[in-house]
Amino acid sequence: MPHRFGIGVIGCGTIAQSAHLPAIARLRARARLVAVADVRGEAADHAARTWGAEEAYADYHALLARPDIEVVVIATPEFLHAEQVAAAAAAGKHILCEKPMAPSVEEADAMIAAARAAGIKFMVGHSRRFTPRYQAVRAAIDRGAIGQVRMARENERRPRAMYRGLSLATGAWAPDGERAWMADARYSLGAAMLNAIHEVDLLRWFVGDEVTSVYAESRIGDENAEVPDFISIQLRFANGALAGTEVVTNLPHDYPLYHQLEVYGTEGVIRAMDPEMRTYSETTTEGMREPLNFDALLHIDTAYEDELRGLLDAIEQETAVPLPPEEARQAVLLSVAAVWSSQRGQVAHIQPDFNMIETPEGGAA
Amino acid sequence: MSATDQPLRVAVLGDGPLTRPMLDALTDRTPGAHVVAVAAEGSTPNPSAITRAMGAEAVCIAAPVADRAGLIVTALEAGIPVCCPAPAAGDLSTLDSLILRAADAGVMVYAPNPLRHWLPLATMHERRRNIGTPLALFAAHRTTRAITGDLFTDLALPLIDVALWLVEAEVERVQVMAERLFSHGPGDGPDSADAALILLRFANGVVATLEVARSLPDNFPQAEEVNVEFLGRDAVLRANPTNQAITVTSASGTMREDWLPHPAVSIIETFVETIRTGATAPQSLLDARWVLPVLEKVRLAATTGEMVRVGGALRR
Ligand SMILES: NC(=O)c1ccc[n+]([C@@H]2O[C@H](COP(=O)([O-])OP(=O)(O)OC[C@H]3O[C@@H](n4cnc5c(N)ncnc54)[C@H](O)[C@@H]3O)[C@@H](O)[C@H]2O)c1
Repeated sequence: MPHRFGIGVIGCGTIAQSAHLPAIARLRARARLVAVADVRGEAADHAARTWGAEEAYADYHALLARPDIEVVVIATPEFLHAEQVAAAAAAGKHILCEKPMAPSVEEADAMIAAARAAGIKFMVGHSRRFTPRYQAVRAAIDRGAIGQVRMARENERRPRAMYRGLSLATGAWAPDGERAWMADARYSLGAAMLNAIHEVDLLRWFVGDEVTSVYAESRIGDENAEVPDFISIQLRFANGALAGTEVVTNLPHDYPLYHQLEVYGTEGVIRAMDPEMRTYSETTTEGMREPLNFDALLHIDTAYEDELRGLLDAIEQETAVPLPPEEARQAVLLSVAAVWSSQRGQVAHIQPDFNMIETPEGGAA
Repeated sequence: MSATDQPLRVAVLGDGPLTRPMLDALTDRTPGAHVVAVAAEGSTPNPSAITRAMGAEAVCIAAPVADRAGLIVTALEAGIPVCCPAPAAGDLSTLDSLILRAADAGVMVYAPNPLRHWLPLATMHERRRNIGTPLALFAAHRTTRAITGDLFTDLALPLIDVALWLVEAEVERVQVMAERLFSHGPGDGPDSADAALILLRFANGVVATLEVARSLPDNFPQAEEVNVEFLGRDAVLRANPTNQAITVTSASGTMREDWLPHPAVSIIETFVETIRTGATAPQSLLDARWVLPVLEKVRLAATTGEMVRVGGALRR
């Protein structure tokens, strides 16, 4: 009998209900959902009932106190990740934390240090890295199908629902009443962190090098939002390659969500364009749905299961996690640089050791 | 047929990508015009000799950008209306001297941007107000690697023109990352770039993300590709004008055949109509006056690697 890891989930909002809890259920041979926690007690109760957890807590510290939980999945908004990762590490739990790792590089570094000090496995769930489609792209690059990567683009379009609270049953949490945290400047940096962090991470992964400069333009389209829901980012890499991403999250309600990936190499090009990339759809009198991609979010197929499986393998076999947190930290750096650039209208130059943004005064930001 | 109904006698000068489409358009699609002379195939065309000898009444220029200004001047000297696809000149001082010479000569110079004549883009322009408050524009023009020529003049300038045409606002600032990524040979840096990522921020808040690159592999099924997506609060308009071919696979391989009329058809029709009616040209050399200054800032941003502000009113 394989060991069944006791799992706790912190945060029972959109991504937990639509991706992590189902993934844990599918991995039931190796994982057992023990408890869930959410400040919204009713959300925790609902998740516990739906997914068969023994206990629901409003305070996540109570979940961390349980010795039968070995692994926690942190699926709360990113402004809470640093605090919760530190607490989970201190409690000796292995951690799968949602992306973005944190809203700042300093917090990301502190999280890595906390995990190292506690000797636990720590992984950030950059789900696109576990998405079969992107893995196929990376595999084609690795086997030299297009030579050396010189240029890449990944654009993403989303309907404006997410800044109004997602259309999913759970909805986005609004800490102070009206405005969803994602659209609130006190809790969110907007599209650069929420969405474009996926894109900059993928582009860096495909180019296979570090970024030397970042330029971005952003804007707020939705009258309810305080933070940009649009961002267009350009990246220049140390090896000379260029990459771009344009993320638009405020489109008319029925505009199909899609991603458009193009990777140009010295010997060829790879493309993965969304509308043609549907893996499963159901068309009814109400229109078309893509339940595999849980409604309108294109979270593709097995990604969440595979990231959790990767973490469990690393724990069991005492190996490194498949996606080191240092990678997620670099993605945070790029998103922070994009925010920095778009707010100042300046190119963000990354320091020679690719560690921080270089400020015009010669310091680091 | 009365004398005024006689087909217009047109000379096509220069050997470039538009030579064949222009000739096809004149021969097959424009009953009001016919070709009296062609100077192409690498020969240095001498327009005055040709137009005199053949009695041409109008000239279409299909030469590479570097040769266009010289050909326009000779046609102006001969007093013959000219159709020269934009850009007629790659820099402001050449453009300004052409504008002055055309005004002095009192001769019409029609300088259409071929991109504006792709039916899907023309349709997008017609319906641009349907999108409500415009938010962003994404536009890419990619060609195969074998196609040479200055990336900024040949690809960026027409795309910037499209952006200005659709967004209808002044550009406030530009940022560019440009590199030579796909081709080999002497030179590097922005002047020999074959790929550029351009961000334009407009005074009305619209951000245009432009990508121009000779990035398509030479065996790509099509030699060029244009995608434009205009995103607004109420609607999104997408045009993929080059995504419109049928493919025919036979014993000799797979052939791509385009079915949308080439922009040259609409360009020639407009040119002939403008001469016939004596109207002013819908796109003249003056129109380039509001595109070229942005292009110059784009070149500057590509060279410095920093953001460049575009100050003051650019339009004429
Ligand atoms: N991998 C992906 O592609 C992907 C997709 C969507 C969201 N995310 C990320 O997942 C995270 C959560 O996003 P979401 O869309 O599920 O948001 P959400 O607002 O729908 O859910 C967040 C949940 O956290 C709960 N919460 C808030 N404070 C808490 C606390 N102190 N303790 C316990 N629970 C608390 C809220 O009540 C809410 O239920 C974000 O960081 C987001 O960026 C990742």
